[in-house]
Amino acid sequence: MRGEDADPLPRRRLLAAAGVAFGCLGAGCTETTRPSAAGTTTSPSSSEPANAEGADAALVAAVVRAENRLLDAYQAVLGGSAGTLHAFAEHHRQHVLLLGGLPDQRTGRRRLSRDLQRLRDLEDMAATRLRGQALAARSGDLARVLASMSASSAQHAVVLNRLRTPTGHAGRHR
Amino acid sequence: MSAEQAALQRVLAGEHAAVYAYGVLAGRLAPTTPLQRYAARGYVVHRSRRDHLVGVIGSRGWSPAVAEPGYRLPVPVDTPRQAQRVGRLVEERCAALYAALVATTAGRLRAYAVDAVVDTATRQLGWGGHPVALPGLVDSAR
Repeated sequence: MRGEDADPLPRRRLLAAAGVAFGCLGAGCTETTRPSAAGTTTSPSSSEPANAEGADAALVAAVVRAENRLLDAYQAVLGGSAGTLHAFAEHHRQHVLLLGGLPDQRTGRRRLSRDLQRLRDLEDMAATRLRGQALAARSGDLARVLASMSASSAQHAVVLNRLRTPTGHAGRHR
Repeated sequence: MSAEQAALQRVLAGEHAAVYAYGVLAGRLAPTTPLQRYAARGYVVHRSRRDHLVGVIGSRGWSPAVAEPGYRLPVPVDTPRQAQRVGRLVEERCAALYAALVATTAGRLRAYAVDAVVDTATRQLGWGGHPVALPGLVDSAR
Protein backbone atom coordinates (compact mmCIF):
# COMPACT_ATOMS: atom_id res chain seq x y z
CA MET A 1 0.00 0.00 0.00
CA ARG A 2 1.33 3.44 -0.87
CA GLY A 3 2.21 5.34 2.27
CA GLU A 4 1.07 8.91 2.24
CA ASP A 5 3.43 9.76 5.08
CA ALA A 6 6.49 7.77 4.07
CA ASP A 7 8.74 10.56 5.33
CA PRO A 8 8.09 11.30 9.02
CA LEU A 9 7.27 14.96 9.54
CA PRO A 10 9.36 16.82 12.07
CA ARG A 11 7.44 17.81 15.19
CA ARG A 12 7.94 21.52 14.60
CA ARG A 13 6.32 21.29 11.18
CA LEU A 14 3.49 19.15 12.51
CA LEU A 15 2.80 21.61 15.28
CA ALA A 16 3.01 24.52 12.85
CA ALA A 17 0.51 22.76 10.64
CA ALA A 18 -1.73 22.33 13.66
CA GLY A 19 -1.45 26.03 14.39
CA VAL A 20 0.30 25.40 17.66
CA ALA A 21 3.44 27.24 18.64
CA PHE A 22 6.37 24.89 18.90
CA GLY A 23 6.55 23.24 22.28
CA CYS A 24 3.11 24.56 23.19
CA LEU A 25 1.37 21.26 23.75
CA GLY A 26 1.68 19.92 27.23
CA ALA A 27 2.54 21.55 30.49
CA GLY A 28 3.67 25.12 30.75
CA CYS A 29 2.01 26.42 27.62
CA THR A 30 -0.66 29.01 26.95
CA GLU A 31 -3.35 28.63 24.34
CA THR A 32 -3.72 30.95 21.42
CA THR A 33 -7.50 30.96 21.57
CA ARG A 34 -10.12 29.27 23.61
CA PRO A 35 -13.83 29.19 22.81
CA SER A 36 -16.16 30.65 25.36
CA ALA A 37 -19.65 29.47 26.15
CA ALA A 38 -21.00 32.61 24.51
CA GLY A 39 -19.43 31.65 21.23
CA THR A 40 -16.70 34.28 21.24
CA THR A 41 -13.08 33.46 21.60
CA THR A 42 -10.88 34.79 24.33
CA SER A 43 -7.16 35.18 24.33
CA PRO A 44 -5.21 33.68 27.18
CA SER A 45 -4.14 35.99 29.90
CA SER A 46 -2.32 35.71 33.16
CA SER A 47 -5.70 34.94 34.73
CA GLU A 48 -5.98 31.65 32.78
CA PRO A 49 -6.37 29.02 35.45
CA ALA A 50 -3.27 26.97 35.98
CA ASN A 51 -5.41 23.88 36.34
CA ALA A 52 -6.54 24.23 32.69
CA GLU A 53 -2.98 23.77 31.47
CA GLY A 54 -2.45 21.04 34.01
CA ALA A 55 -5.59 19.27 32.85
CA ASP A 56 -4.41 19.35 29.24
CA ALA A 57 -0.93 18.20 30.25
CA ALA A 58 -2.46 15.16 31.94
CA LEU A 59 -4.61 14.58 28.86
CA VAL A 60 -1.58 14.71 26.59
CA ALA A 61 0.27 12.25 28.84
CA ALA A 62 -2.68 9.85 28.67
CA VAL A 63 -2.84 10.15 24.87
CA VAL A 64 0.89 9.47 24.56
CA ARG A 65 0.59 6.34 26.73
CA ALA A 66 -2.32 5.05 24.66
CA GLU A 67 -0.60 5.80 21.36
CA ASN A 68 2.48 3.91 22.56
CA ARG A 69 0.29 0.92 23.39
CA LEU A 70 -1.09 1.01 19.86
CA LEU A 71 2.40 1.37 18.44
CA ASP A 72 3.48 -1.64 20.50
CA ALA A 73 0.55 -3.66 19.17
CA TYR A 74 1.57 -2.92 15.58
CA GLN A 75 5.20 -3.73 16.24
CA ALA A 76 4.23 -7.05 17.78
CA VAL A 77 2.12 -7.97 14.75
CA LEU A 78 4.37 -6.71 12.00
CA GLY A 79 6.74 -9.62 11.85
CA GLY A 80 7.41 -10.05 8.16
CA SER A 81 4.52 -7.82 7.06
CA ALA A 82 5.65 -4.50 5.70
CA GLY A 83 3.67 -1.89 3.83
CA THR A 84 0.29 -1.07 5.32
CA LEU A 85 0.98 -1.99 8.93
CA HIS A 86 4.36 -0.26 8.91
CA ALA A 87 2.69 2.90 7.62
CA PHE A 88 0.06 2.79 10.38
CA ALA A 89 2.69 2.17 13.02
CA GLU A 90 4.59 5.16 11.70
CA HIS A 91 1.43 7.31 12.01
CA HIS A 92 1.17 6.43 15.69
CA ARG A 93 4.86 7.09 16.17
CA GLN A 94 4.31 10.56 14.70
CA HIS A 95 1.36 11.09 17.05
CA VAL A 96 3.58 10.30 20.03
CA LEU A 97 6.34 12.58 18.79
CA LEU A 98 3.90 15.41 18.06
CA LEU A 99 2.69 15.33 21.65
CA GLY A 100 6.21 15.37 23.02
CA GLY A 101 6.35 11.74 24.00
CA LEU A 102 8.91 9.06 23.34
CA PRO A 103 7.86 6.32 20.92
CA ASP A 104 7.89 2.86 22.39
CA GLN A 105 10.86 0.91 21.11
CA ARG A 106 9.86 -2.46 22.45
CA THR A 107 9.63 -5.18 19.83
CA GLY A 108 8.48 -8.74 20.10
CA ARG A 109 8.47 -8.80 23.88
CA ARG A 110 4.71 -8.88 24.42
CA ARG A 111 2.51 -11.75 23.51
CA LEU A 112 0.00 -9.91 21.39
CA SER A 113 -2.20 -11.54 18.84
CA ARG A 114 -1.23 -11.18 15.21
CA ASP A 115 -4.86 -10.89 14.30
CA LEU A 116 -5.77 -8.02 12.04
CA GLN A 117 -9.14 -7.89 13.71
CA ARG A 118 -7.50 -7.10 17.00
CA LEU A 119 -5.65 -4.20 15.43
CA ARG A 120 -8.87 -2.99 13.87
CA ASP A 121 -10.64 -3.21 17.23
CA LEU A 122 -7.79 -1.31 18.87
CA GLU A 123 -8.02 1.39 16.23
CA ASP A 124 -11.79 1.61 16.70
CA MET A 125 -11.30 2.05 20.42
CA ALA A 126 -8.56 4.61 19.82
CA ALA A 127 -10.80 6.62 17.53
CA THR A 128 -13.54 6.65 20.16
CA ARG A 129 -11.15 7.47 22.99
CA LEU A 130 -9.48 10.29 21.06
CA ARG A 131 -12.88 11.72 20.18
CA GLY A 132 -13.69 11.98 23.87
CA GLN A 133 -10.30 13.47 24.59
CA ALA A 134 -10.75 16.04 21.85
CA LEU A 135 -13.99 17.10 23.51
CA ALA A 136 -12.32 17.26 26.91
CA ALA A 137 -9.32 19.32 25.87
CA ARG A 138 -9.29 22.87 27.18
CA SER A 139 -7.00 24.07 24.40
CA GLY A 140 -8.71 24.45 21.04
CA ASP A 141 -5.50 23.66 19.21
CA LEU A 142 -4.99 20.48 21.21
CA ALA A 143 -8.59 19.53 20.52
CA ARG A 144 -7.97 19.94 16.80
CA VAL A 145 -4.89 17.72 16.92
CA LEU A 146 -6.75 15.04 18.88
CA ALA A 147 -9.69 15.16 16.47
CA SER A 148 -7.27 14.63 13.61
CA MET A 149 -5.66 11.70 15.41
CA SER A 150 -9.10 10.20 15.98
CA ALA A 151 -9.75 10.50 12.27
CA SER A 152 -6.43 8.79 11.51
CA SER A 153 -7.36 5.82 13.69
CA ALA A 154 -10.76 5.69 12.04
CA GLN A 155 -9.05 5.55 8.64
CA HIS A 156 -6.77 2.74 9.87
CA ALA A 157 -9.78 0.78 11.10
CA VAL A 158 -11.46 1.02 7.69
CA VAL A 159 -8.39 -0.25 5.85
CA LEU A 160 -7.69 -3.00 8.40
CA ASN A 161 -11.26 -4.14 7.97
CA ARG A 162 -10.72 -4.35 4.23
CA LEU A 163 -7.58 -6.42 4.75
CA ARG A 164 -9.58 -8.85 6.86
CA THR A 165 -12.36 -9.08 4.28
CA PRO A 166 -10.81 -8.64 0.80
CA THR A 167 -14.22 -8.63 -0.87
CA GLY A 168 -15.54 -5.88 1.45
CA HIS A 169 -16.92 -2.69 -0.03
CA ALA A 170 -14.54 0.22 -0.36
CA GLY A 171 -15.11 2.52 2.58
CA ARG A 172 -17.38 2.03 5.53
CA HIS A 173 -19.96 4.52 4.45
CA ARG A 174 -23.42 3.49 3.55
CA MET B 1 -16.48 38.59 13.85
CA SER B 2 -15.45 36.00 16.41
CA ALA B 3 -13.16 33.12 15.55
CA GLU B 4 -16.03 30.69 16.01
CA GLN B 5 -18.30 32.64 13.68
CA ALA B 6 -15.56 32.93 11.06
CA ALA B 7 -14.84 29.20 11.24
CA LEU B 8 -18.54 28.36 10.97
CA GLN B 9 -18.95 30.56 7.92
CA ARG B 10 -15.87 29.05 6.28
CA VAL B 11 -17.02 25.51 6.84
CA LEU B 12 -20.49 26.42 5.53
CA ALA B 13 -18.87 27.88 2.43
CA GLY B 14 -16.94 24.63 2.10
CA GLU B 15 -20.13 22.60 2.35
CA HIS B 16 -21.79 24.73 -0.32
CA ALA B 17 -18.88 23.86 -2.61
CA ALA B 18 -19.01 20.21 -1.57
CA VAL B 19 -22.71 19.95 -2.35
CA TYR B 20 -22.02 21.39 -5.80
CA ALA B 21 -19.09 19.05 -6.42
CA TYR B 22 -20.96 15.97 -5.28
CA GLY B 23 -23.87 16.93 -7.48
CA VAL B 24 -21.51 16.94 -10.44
CA LEU B 25 -19.93 13.65 -9.37
CA ALA B 26 -23.23 11.87 -8.90
CA GLY B 27 -24.49 13.22 -12.21
CA ARG B 28 -21.43 12.43 -14.31
CA LEU B 29 -20.54 8.96 -13.06
CA ALA B 30 -22.14 6.00 -14.77
CA PRO B 31 -25.50 5.32 -13.12
CA THR B 32 -25.86 2.47 -10.63
CA THR B 33 -22.10 1.87 -10.44
CA PRO B 34 -20.64 1.59 -6.92
CA LEU B 35 -18.80 4.86 -7.33
CA GLN B 36 -21.91 6.70 -8.50
CA ARG B 37 -23.89 5.36 -5.57
CA TYR B 38 -21.06 6.43 -3.27
CA ALA B 39 -21.23 9.92 -4.75
CA ALA B 40 -25.00 10.01 -4.33
CA ARG B 41 -24.72 9.07 -0.67
CA GLY B 42 -22.01 11.67 -0.16
CA TYR B 43 -24.24 14.29 -1.70
CA VAL B 44 -26.91 13.57 0.87
CA VAL B 45 -24.42 13.79 3.73
CA HIS B 46 -22.96 17.10 2.64
CA ARG B 47 -26.35 18.59 1.94
CA SER B 48 -27.48 17.57 5.42
CA ARG B 49 -24.40 19.15 7.00
CA ARG B 50 -24.89 22.29 4.95
CA ASP B 51 -28.47 22.60 6.16
CA HIS B 52 -27.42 21.95 9.75
CA LEU B 53 -24.75 24.65 9.61
CA VAL B 54 -27.22 27.13 8.15
CA GLY B 55 -29.44 26.46 11.15
CA VAL B 56 -26.59 26.77 13.65
CA ILE B 57 -25.38 30.06 12.22
CA GLY B 58 -28.90 31.44 11.95
CA SER B 59 -29.70 30.46 15.53
CA ARG B 60 -26.84 32.66 16.67
CA GLY B 61 -28.32 35.66 14.87
CA TRP B 62 -25.77 35.65 12.06
CA SER B 63 -26.42 35.61 8.33
CA PRO B 64 -25.29 32.28 6.84
CA ALA B 65 -22.83 32.42 3.97
CA VAL B 66 -24.58 31.85 0.66
CA ALA B 67 -23.53 29.49 -2.08
CA GLU B 68 -21.69 30.78 -5.11
CA PRO B 69 -23.53 30.68 -8.45
CA GLY B 70 -21.08 28.00 -9.58
CA TYR B 71 -17.78 26.44 -8.66
CA ARG B 72 -14.75 25.50 -10.70
CA LEU B 73 -13.71 21.94 -10.07
CA PRO B 74 -9.95 21.25 -9.98
CA VAL B 75 -10.21 18.78 -12.85
CA PRO B 76 -12.99 17.85 -15.26
CA VAL B 77 -15.06 14.86 -14.23
CA ASP B 78 -14.90 12.79 -17.38
CA THR B 79 -13.45 9.57 -15.99
CA PRO B 80 -13.80 7.61 -12.74
CA ARG B 81 -10.19 8.44 -11.91
CA GLN B 82 -10.88 12.17 -12.25
CA ALA B 83 -14.02 11.75 -10.17
CA GLN B 84 -11.99 10.04 -7.46
CA ARG B 85 -9.50 12.90 -7.42
CA VAL B 86 -12.28 15.48 -7.07
CA GLY B 87 -13.94 13.45 -4.34
CA ARG B 88 -10.69 13.18 -2.38
CA LEU B 89 -9.94 16.87 -2.72
CA VAL B 90 -13.43 17.84 -1.56
CA GLU B 91 -13.17 15.66 1.51
CA GLU B 92 -9.63 16.80 2.31
CA ARG B 93 -10.73 20.41 2.20
CA CYS B 94 -13.77 19.71 4.34
CA ALA B 95 -11.58 17.86 6.85
CA ALA B 96 -9.34 20.91 7.19
CA LEU B 97 -12.32 23.25 7.61
CA TYR B 98 -13.93 21.10 10.27
CA ALA B 99 -10.61 20.66 12.08
CA ALA B 100 -10.35 24.45 12.23
CA LEU B 101 -13.91 24.54 13.58
CA VAL B 102 -12.92 22.11 16.34
CA ALA B 103 -10.30 24.57 17.54
CA THR B 104 -12.77 27.44 17.93
CA THR B 105 -15.70 25.62 19.50
CA ALA B 106 -16.73 23.76 22.61
CA GLY B 107 -19.48 21.45 23.75
CA ARG B 108 -21.95 20.05 21.25
CA LEU B 109 -20.70 22.12 18.36
CA ARG B 110 -17.16 20.86 18.90
CA ALA B 111 -18.51 17.31 19.01
CA TYR B 112 -20.26 17.90 15.70
CA ALA B 113 -17.05 19.24 14.20
CA VAL B 114 -14.97 16.32 15.52
CA ASP B 115 -17.40 13.80 14.06
CA ALA B 116 -17.26 15.63 10.74
CA VAL B 117 -13.47 15.47 10.72
CA VAL B 118 -13.68 11.70 11.20
CA ASP B 119 -16.37 11.33 8.55
CA THR B 120 -14.56 13.36 5.92
CA ALA B 121 -11.30 11.54 6.62
CA THR B 122 -12.85 8.11 6.19
CA ARG B 123 -14.91 9.27 3.22
CA GLN B 124 -11.64 10.07 1.44
CA LEU B 125 -10.83 6.36 1.49
CA GLY B 126 -13.86 5.56 -0.61
CA TRP B 127 -12.47 7.90 -3.24
CA GLY B 128 -9.21 5.99 -3.37
CA GLY B 129 -7.44 7.96 -0.67
CA HIS B 130 -5.02 6.46 1.85
CA PRO B 131 -4.80 6.92 5.60
CA VAL B 132 -2.49 9.66 6.82
CA ALA B 133 -1.12 10.57 10.24
CA LEU B 134 -3.07 13.82 10.66
CA PRO B 135 -6.14 14.17 8.46
CA GLY B 136 -7.28 17.77 8.18
CA LEU B 137 -4.03 19.17 9.55
CA VAL B 138 -1.36 18.33 7.01
CA ASP B 139 -1.94 18.70 3.32
CA SER B 140 -2.15 15.15 2.04
CA ALA B 141 -3.31 16.06 -1.43
CA ARG B 142 -1.36 14.23 -4.10
